[in-house]
Amino acid sequence: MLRGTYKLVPNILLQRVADEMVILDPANGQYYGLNDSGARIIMLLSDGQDLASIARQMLEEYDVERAPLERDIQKLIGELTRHGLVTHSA
Amino acid sequence: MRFRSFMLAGTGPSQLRFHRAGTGAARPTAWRYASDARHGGEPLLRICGSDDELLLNFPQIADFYVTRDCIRYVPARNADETFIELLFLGPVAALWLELNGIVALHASAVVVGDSAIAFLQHSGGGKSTLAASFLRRRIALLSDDVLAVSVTPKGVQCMPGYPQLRLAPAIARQFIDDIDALPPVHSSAEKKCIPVGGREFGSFCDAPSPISCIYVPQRTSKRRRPPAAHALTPSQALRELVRGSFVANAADALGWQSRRVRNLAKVAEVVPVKQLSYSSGMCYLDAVCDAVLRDLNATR
Repeated sequence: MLRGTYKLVPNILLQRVADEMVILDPANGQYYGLNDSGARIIMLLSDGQDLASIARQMLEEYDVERAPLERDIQKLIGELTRHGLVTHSA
Repeated sequence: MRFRSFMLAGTGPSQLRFHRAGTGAARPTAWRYASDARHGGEPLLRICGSDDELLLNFPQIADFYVTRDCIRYVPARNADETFIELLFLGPVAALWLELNGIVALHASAVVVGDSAIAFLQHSGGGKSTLAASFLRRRIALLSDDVLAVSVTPKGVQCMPGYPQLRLAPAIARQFIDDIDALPPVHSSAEKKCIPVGGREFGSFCDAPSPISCIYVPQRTSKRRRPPAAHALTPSQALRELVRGSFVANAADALGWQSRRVRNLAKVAEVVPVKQLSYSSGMCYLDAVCDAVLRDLNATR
Protein backbone atom coordinates (compact mmCIF):
# COMPACT_ATOMS: atom_id res chain seq x y z
CA MET A 1 0.00 0.00 0.00
CA LEU A 2 1.39 3.36 -1.02
CA ARG A 3 1.67 6.06 1.61
CA GLY A 4 2.63 9.71 1.71
CA THR A 5 2.03 12.93 -0.12
CA TYR A 6 4.47 14.53 -2.48
CA LYS A 7 4.32 17.90 -4.13
CA LEU A 8 6.04 19.49 -7.06
CA VAL A 9 8.74 21.96 -6.12
CA PRO A 10 7.93 25.62 -6.87
CA ASN A 11 8.58 27.06 -10.36
CA ILE A 12 8.50 23.69 -12.10
CA LEU A 13 6.66 23.96 -15.41
CA LEU A 14 4.43 21.23 -16.80
CA GLN A 15 3.76 21.47 -20.50
CA ARG A 16 1.78 19.06 -22.63
CA VAL A 17 3.10 18.75 -26.17
CA ALA A 18 1.27 16.42 -28.55
CA ASP A 19 0.75 13.19 -26.52
CA GLU A 20 3.60 13.79 -24.15
CA MET A 21 4.15 15.74 -20.97
CA VAL A 22 7.36 17.64 -20.40
CA ILE A 23 8.59 18.80 -17.01
CA LEU A 24 10.82 21.85 -17.24
CA ASP A 25 13.06 22.78 -14.37
CA PRO A 26 14.18 26.36 -15.00
CA ALA A 27 16.54 26.24 -12.02
CA ASN A 28 18.95 23.89 -13.79
CA GLY A 29 17.69 23.97 -17.38
CA GLN A 30 16.76 20.27 -17.32
CA TYR A 31 13.82 18.80 -19.21
CA TYR A 32 12.10 15.50 -18.54
CA GLY A 33 9.65 13.71 -20.78
CA LEU A 34 6.83 11.59 -19.40
CA ASN A 35 4.64 9.02 -21.10
CA ASP A 36 0.87 9.11 -20.80
CA SER A 37 0.59 7.31 -17.45
CA GLY A 38 3.52 9.27 -16.00
CA ALA A 39 1.84 12.48 -17.09
CA ARG A 40 -1.38 11.38 -15.38
CA ILE A 41 0.47 10.70 -12.13
CA ILE A 42 2.07 14.14 -12.26
CA MET A 43 -1.26 15.82 -12.90
CA LEU A 44 -2.86 14.02 -9.95
CA LEU A 45 0.16 14.93 -7.83
CA SER A 46 -0.16 18.58 -8.80
CA ASP A 47 -3.85 18.41 -7.79
CA GLY A 48 -2.62 17.63 -4.26
CA GLN A 49 -3.59 13.96 -4.15
CA ASP A 50 -1.60 11.57 -1.98
CA LEU A 51 -0.02 8.43 -3.42
CA ALA A 52 -2.79 6.10 -2.22
CA SER A 53 -5.51 8.13 -3.91
CA ILE A 54 -3.39 8.47 -7.05
CA ALA A 55 -3.17 4.67 -7.18
CA ARG A 56 -6.93 4.31 -6.67
CA GLN A 57 -7.65 6.80 -9.43
CA MET A 58 -5.20 5.12 -11.84
CA LEU A 59 -6.74 1.67 -11.15
CA GLU A 60 -10.08 3.07 -12.27
CA GLU A 61 -8.67 4.71 -15.38
CA TYR A 62 -6.17 2.12 -16.63
CA ASP A 63 -6.36 -1.61 -17.24
CA VAL A 64 -3.60 -2.51 -14.82
CA GLU A 65 -2.98 -4.66 -11.72
CA ARG A 66 -2.46 -2.96 -8.38
CA ALA A 67 1.00 -4.39 -7.58
CA PRO A 68 2.79 -3.35 -10.80
CA LEU A 69 0.98 0.00 -10.77
CA GLU A 70 2.17 0.77 -7.24
CA ARG A 71 5.70 -0.27 -8.19
CA ASP A 72 5.57 2.09 -11.19
CA ILE A 73 4.26 4.97 -9.10
CA GLN A 74 6.93 4.42 -6.49
CA LYS A 75 9.62 4.20 -9.14
CA LEU A 76 8.48 7.43 -10.78
CA ILE A 77 8.27 9.26 -7.44
CA GLY A 78 11.78 8.02 -6.65
CA GLU A 79 13.08 9.36 -9.95
CA LEU A 80 11.33 12.71 -9.50
CA THR A 81 12.68 12.99 -5.95
CA ARG A 82 16.20 12.11 -7.11
CA HIS A 83 16.03 14.92 -9.69
CA GLY A 84 14.70 17.37 -7.12
CA LEU A 85 11.37 17.83 -8.87
CA VAL A 86 9.14 16.70 -5.99
CA THR A 87 9.42 16.75 -2.21
CA HIS A 88 7.79 14.61 0.45
CA SER A 89 5.26 16.79 2.22
CA ALA A 90 3.56 14.48 4.76
CA MET B 1 22.28 55.35 -36.71
CA ARG B 2 20.23 53.88 -39.53
CA PHE B 3 18.43 50.58 -39.27
CA ARG B 4 16.65 48.47 -41.81
CA SER B 5 14.99 45.68 -39.93
CA PHE B 6 11.83 44.14 -41.30
CA MET B 7 11.52 41.95 -38.23
CA LEU B 8 10.78 45.01 -36.16
CA ALA B 9 8.57 46.81 -38.64
CA GLY B 10 6.19 44.07 -39.65
CA THR B 11 5.49 41.78 -36.74
CA GLY B 12 1.89 42.80 -36.32
CA PRO B 13 1.33 44.07 -32.80
CA SER B 14 2.61 47.48 -33.68
CA GLN B 15 4.75 49.52 -35.96
CA LEU B 16 7.89 49.86 -33.93
CA ARG B 17 9.50 53.23 -33.45
CA PHE B 18 13.16 53.32 -32.60
CA HIS B 19 14.93 56.51 -31.73
CA ARG B 20 17.71 58.01 -29.71
CA ALA B 21 16.55 59.77 -26.57
CA GLY B 22 18.17 62.80 -25.00
CA THR B 23 18.27 61.53 -21.47
CA GLY B 24 16.96 58.53 -19.64
CA ALA B 25 14.70 58.26 -16.64
CA ALA B 26 16.14 57.97 -13.14
CA ARG B 27 18.05 54.72 -12.71
CA PRO B 28 16.20 52.27 -10.44
CA THR B 29 18.03 50.15 -7.94
CA ALA B 30 16.04 46.88 -8.08
CA TRP B 31 17.08 44.82 -11.08
CA ARG B 32 14.79 42.01 -12.19
CA TYR B 33 17.58 40.35 -14.14
CA ALA B 34 21.35 40.48 -14.36
CA SER B 35 23.14 38.38 -16.97
CA ASP B 36 25.94 35.96 -16.17
CA ALA B 37 27.80 37.32 -19.19
CA ARG B 38 29.97 40.25 -18.14
CA HIS B 39 31.41 43.31 -19.83
CA GLY B 40 33.97 45.53 -18.14
CA GLY B 41 33.50 43.75 -14.79
CA GLU B 42 29.72 44.28 -14.71
CA PRO B 43 26.82 42.17 -15.96
CA LEU B 44 26.52 42.76 -19.70
CA LEU B 45 22.75 43.23 -19.32
CA ARG B 46 20.55 44.27 -16.42
CA ILE B 47 16.78 44.67 -16.67
CA CYS B 48 14.27 46.48 -14.52
CA GLY B 49 10.87 48.09 -14.90
CA SER B 50 7.47 46.64 -15.70
CA ASP B 51 6.11 45.10 -18.88
CA ASP B 52 4.71 48.57 -19.69
CA GLU B 53 8.25 49.88 -19.97
CA LEU B 54 11.40 47.88 -19.48
CA LEU B 55 14.83 49.38 -18.99
CA LEU B 56 17.56 47.29 -20.56
CA ASN B 57 20.82 48.54 -19.12
CA PHE B 58 24.06 47.61 -20.86
CA PRO B 59 26.62 49.28 -18.55
CA GLN B 60 29.08 51.56 -20.34
CA ILE B 61 27.27 50.96 -23.63
CA ALA B 62 23.62 52.10 -23.63
CA ASP B 63 20.25 52.06 -21.93
CA PHE B 64 17.28 50.88 -23.99
CA TYR B 65 13.75 51.82 -22.88
CA VAL B 66 11.46 49.23 -24.37
CA THR B 67 7.67 49.37 -24.67
CA ARG B 68 5.42 47.32 -26.95
CA ASP B 69 5.61 49.88 -29.74
CA CYS B 70 8.74 51.89 -29.11
CA ILE B 71 12.41 51.46 -28.26
CA ARG B 72 14.36 54.51 -27.11
CA TYR B 73 18.04 54.37 -26.39
CA VAL B 74 20.49 56.52 -24.51
CA PRO B 75 24.11 55.79 -25.43
CA ALA B 76 26.80 55.91 -22.77
CA ARG B 77 29.54 58.49 -23.20
CA ASN B 78 31.97 57.41 -25.93
CA ALA B 79 30.01 54.22 -26.56
CA ASP B 80 30.77 52.27 -29.72
CA GLU B 81 27.74 52.83 -31.97
CA THR B 82 28.35 49.60 -33.86
CA PHE B 83 28.14 47.69 -30.58
CA ILE B 84 24.88 49.47 -29.78
CA GLU B 85 23.56 48.40 -33.17
CA LEU B 86 24.63 44.82 -32.48
CA LEU B 87 22.79 44.81 -29.16
CA PHE B 88 19.72 46.39 -30.71
CA LEU B 89 19.51 43.78 -33.46
CA GLY B 90 20.21 40.96 -30.98
CA PRO B 91 19.03 40.84 -27.37
CA VAL B 92 17.05 44.09 -27.45
CA ALA B 93 15.05 43.05 -30.51
CA ALA B 94 14.59 39.55 -29.07
CA LEU B 95 13.24 40.90 -25.77
CA TRP B 96 10.96 43.30 -27.62
CA LEU B 97 9.58 40.37 -29.63
CA GLU B 98 9.04 38.30 -26.48
CA LEU B 99 7.37 41.29 -24.79
CA ASN B 100 4.90 41.23 -27.69
CA GLY B 101 4.32 37.47 -27.32
CA ILE B 102 6.44 36.57 -30.35
CA VAL B 103 8.98 33.79 -29.94
CA ALA B 104 12.59 34.82 -30.60
CA LEU B 105 14.67 31.81 -31.58
CA HIS B 106 18.43 31.67 -31.93
CA ALA B 107 18.19 30.57 -35.54
CA SER B 108 18.81 31.44 -39.16
CA ALA B 109 16.20 30.82 -41.83
CA VAL B 110 15.96 30.63 -45.61
CA VAL B 111 12.93 30.35 -47.87
CA VAL B 112 12.73 27.20 -50.01
CA GLY B 113 9.82 27.35 -52.42
CA ASP B 114 6.90 28.86 -50.56
CA SER B 115 7.97 28.17 -46.99
CA ALA B 116 10.90 28.72 -44.66
CA ILE B 117 13.29 26.28 -43.07
CA ALA B 118 15.23 27.26 -39.99
CA PHE B 119 18.56 26.21 -38.50
CA LEU B 120 18.37 26.38 -34.70
CA GLN B 121 21.68 26.61 -32.93
CA HIS B 122 23.68 28.76 -30.55
CA SER B 123 26.51 31.03 -31.69
CA GLY B 124 29.25 29.12 -33.44
CA GLY B 125 26.93 26.20 -34.17
CA GLY B 126 26.98 26.59 -37.95
CA LYS B 127 23.57 28.12 -38.64
CA SER B 128 24.80 31.21 -40.53
CA THR B 129 27.22 29.12 -42.59
CA LEU B 130 24.41 26.77 -43.55
CA ALA B 131 22.20 29.73 -44.48
CA ALA B 132 25.02 31.17 -46.62
CA SER B 133 25.35 27.82 -48.40
CA PHE B 134 21.69 27.99 -49.38
CA LEU B 135 22.02 31.62 -50.50
CA ARG B 136 24.71 30.48 -52.92
CA ARG B 137 22.00 28.29 -54.49
CA ARG B 138 19.74 31.30 -55.13
CA ILE B 139 17.61 30.53 -52.09
CA ALA B 140 16.61 33.68 -50.18
CA LEU B 141 17.59 34.59 -46.64
CA LEU B 142 14.72 35.24 -44.25
CA SER B 143 16.70 35.92 -41.09
CA ASP B 144 20.08 35.39 -39.50
CA ASP B 145 20.75 34.87 -35.79
CA VAL B 146 17.39 36.03 -34.37
CA LEU B 147 14.30 34.40 -35.89
CA ALA B 148 10.92 35.86 -34.94
CA VAL B 149 8.24 33.17 -34.85
CA SER B 150 4.61 34.19 -34.51
CA VAL B 151 2.27 31.59 -33.05
CA THR B 152 -1.42 32.26 -33.65
CA PRO B 153 -4.54 30.06 -33.86
CA LYS B 154 -4.10 30.25 -37.64
CA GLY B 155 -0.62 28.73 -37.51
CA VAL B 156 3.08 29.40 -37.15
CA GLN B 157 4.83 32.03 -39.23
CA CYS B 158 8.39 33.29 -39.40
CA MET B 159 9.09 36.98 -39.75
CA PRO B 160 11.85 38.40 -41.93
CA GLY B 161 14.86 39.74 -40.07
CA TYR B 162 17.32 42.10 -41.71
CA PRO B 163 19.30 41.58 -44.94
CA GLN B 164 22.64 40.70 -43.47
CA LEU B 165 24.74 37.67 -42.53
CA ARG B 166 27.52 37.62 -39.97
CA LEU B 167 30.37 35.26 -40.69
CA ALA B 168 33.91 34.70 -39.46
CA PRO B 169 36.46 35.88 -42.07
CA ALA B 170 37.63 32.37 -42.94
CA ILE B 171 34.07 31.32 -43.69
CA ALA B 172 33.07 34.60 -45.37
CA ARG B 173 35.93 34.07 -47.86
CA GLN B 174 34.20 30.95 -49.10
CA PHE B 175 31.25 33.03 -50.27
CA ILE B 176 32.63 36.53 -51.00
CA ASP B 177 35.70 37.36 -53.09
CA ASP B 178 36.82 40.53 -51.35
CA ILE B 179 35.99 40.44 -47.67
CA ASP B 180 38.46 43.17 -46.71
CA ALA B 181 35.96 45.78 -47.86
CA LEU B 182 33.26 44.40 -45.55
CA PRO B 183 32.73 46.07 -42.16
CA PRO B 184 33.25 44.11 -38.96
CA VAL B 185 30.24 43.29 -36.78
CA HIS B 186 31.58 45.87 -34.34
CA SER B 187 34.86 47.68 -33.94
CA SER B 188 36.64 44.95 -31.96
CA ALA B 189 35.03 41.94 -33.62
CA GLU B 190 36.53 39.61 -36.20
CA LYS B 191 33.23 38.59 -37.75
CA LYS B 192 32.21 40.38 -40.91
CA CYS B 193 28.83 41.87 -41.84
CA ILE B 194 27.80 40.59 -45.26
CA PRO B 195 25.00 42.56 -46.88
CA VAL B 196 22.44 40.31 -48.51
CA GLY B 197 20.26 41.20 -51.45
CA GLY B 198 22.48 43.78 -53.07
CA ARG B 199 25.15 43.21 -55.67
CA GLU B 200 27.38 41.37 -53.24
CA PHE B 201 25.64 38.21 -52.24
CA GLY B 202 22.33 36.36 -52.31
CA SER B 203 18.77 37.58 -52.02
CA PHE B 204 16.52 38.51 -49.13
CA CYS B 205 12.87 37.65 -48.51
CA ASP B 206 11.11 40.57 -46.82
CA ALA B 207 7.72 38.91 -46.29
CA PRO B 208 6.51 36.64 -43.47
CA SER B 209 6.61 32.98 -44.36
CA PRO B 210 5.09 29.75 -43.04
CA ILE B 211 7.71 27.35 -41.79
CA SER B 212 8.03 23.78 -43.01
CA CYS B 213 10.86 22.43 -40.85
CA ILE B 214 13.30 23.40 -38.11
CA TYR B 215 16.66 21.69 -38.30
CA VAL B 216 19.04 21.46 -35.33
CA PRO B 217 22.56 21.29 -36.81
CA GLN B 218 24.79 18.74 -35.13
CA ARG B 219 28.32 18.73 -36.50
CA THR B 220 30.67 15.86 -35.92
CA SER B 221 34.43 15.69 -36.31
CA LYS B 222 34.11 12.30 -38.04
CA ARG B 223 34.99 12.66 -41.71
CA ARG B 224 32.70 11.85 -44.62
CA ARG B 225 29.68 11.04 -42.50
CA PRO B 226 26.68 11.28 -44.85
CA PRO B 227 24.38 14.11 -43.73
CA ALA B 228 21.19 12.81 -42.15
CA ALA B 229 18.01 14.33 -40.74
CA HIS B 230 16.29 12.56 -37.85
CA ALA B 231 12.87 13.65 -36.66
CA LEU B 232 12.63 14.50 -32.95
CA THR B 233 9.64 13.58 -30.82
CA PRO B 234 7.48 16.53 -29.78
CA SER B 235 8.98 16.54 -26.28
CA GLN B 236 12.53 16.40 -27.68
CA ALA B 237 11.57 19.18 -30.07
CA LEU B 238 10.23 21.30 -27.22
CA ARG B 239 13.47 20.78 -25.31
CA GLU B 240 15.53 21.97 -28.29
CA LEU B 241 13.25 24.96 -28.85
CA VAL B 242 13.47 26.00 -25.20
CA ARG B 243 17.24 25.64 -25.33
CA GLY B 244 17.31 27.57 -28.61
CA SER B 245 15.41 30.58 -27.34
CA PHE B 246 17.44 33.73 -27.88
CA VAL B 247 16.86 35.37 -24.52
CA ALA B 248 15.57 32.47 -22.42
CA ASN B 249 17.16 33.45 -19.11
CA ALA B 250 16.08 37.07 -19.27
CA ALA B 251 12.57 36.20 -20.44
CA ASP B 252 12.21 33.67 -17.63
CA ALA B 253 13.37 36.21 -15.05
CA LEU B 254 10.72 38.61 -16.34
CA GLY B 255 7.99 36.02 -15.75
CA TRP B 256 7.29 35.25 -19.41
CA GLN B 257 8.29 31.61 -19.21
CA SER B 258 4.83 29.99 -19.13
CA ARG B 259 3.62 31.91 -22.16
CA ARG B 260 6.87 31.30 -23.99
CA VAL B 261 6.87 27.56 -23.33
CA ARG B 262 3.19 27.31 -24.38
CA ASN B 263 4.07 28.99 -27.67
CA LEU B 264 7.10 26.75 -28.15
CA ALA B 265 4.97 23.65 -27.45
CA LYS B 266 2.61 24.79 -30.19
CA VAL B 267 5.57 25.15 -32.56
CA ALA B 268 6.78 21.66 -31.58
CA GLU B 269 3.34 20.24 -32.32
CA VAL B 270 2.83 21.74 -35.77
CA VAL B 271 6.36 22.14 -37.19
CA PRO B 272 8.66 19.14 -37.72
CA VAL B 273 11.88 19.56 -35.76
CA LYS B 274 14.80 17.42 -36.93
CA GLN B 275 18.36 16.86 -35.85
CA LEU B 276 20.64 17.46 -38.83
CA SER B 277 23.93 15.63 -38.37
CA TYR B 278 26.85 16.11 -40.72
CA SER B 279 30.63 16.17 -40.86
CA SER B 280 32.25 19.44 -39.88
CA GLY B 281 33.99 21.22 -42.75
CA MET B 282 33.22 23.57 -45.63
CA CYS B 283 33.76 20.79 -48.15
CA TYR B 284 30.68 18.95 -46.84
CA LEU B 285 28.21 21.84 -47.01
CA ASP B 286 27.00 21.12 -50.53
CA ALA B 287 26.12 17.60 -49.49
CA VAL B 288 24.29 18.99 -46.43
CA CYS B 289 22.22 21.33 -48.63
CA ASP B 290 21.40 18.41 -50.94
CA ALA B 291 20.35 16.27 -47.97
CA VAL B 292 18.09 19.03 -46.59
CA LEU B 293 16.42 19.57 -49.96
CA ARG B 294 15.90 15.82 -50.37
CA ASP B 295 14.43 15.64 -46.89
CA LEU B 296 12.05 18.49 -47.66
CA ASN B 297 10.93 16.90 -50.93
CA ALA B 298 10.33 13.60 -49.17
CA THR B 299 8.08 15.15 -46.54
CA ARG B 300 6.14 17.61 -48.71
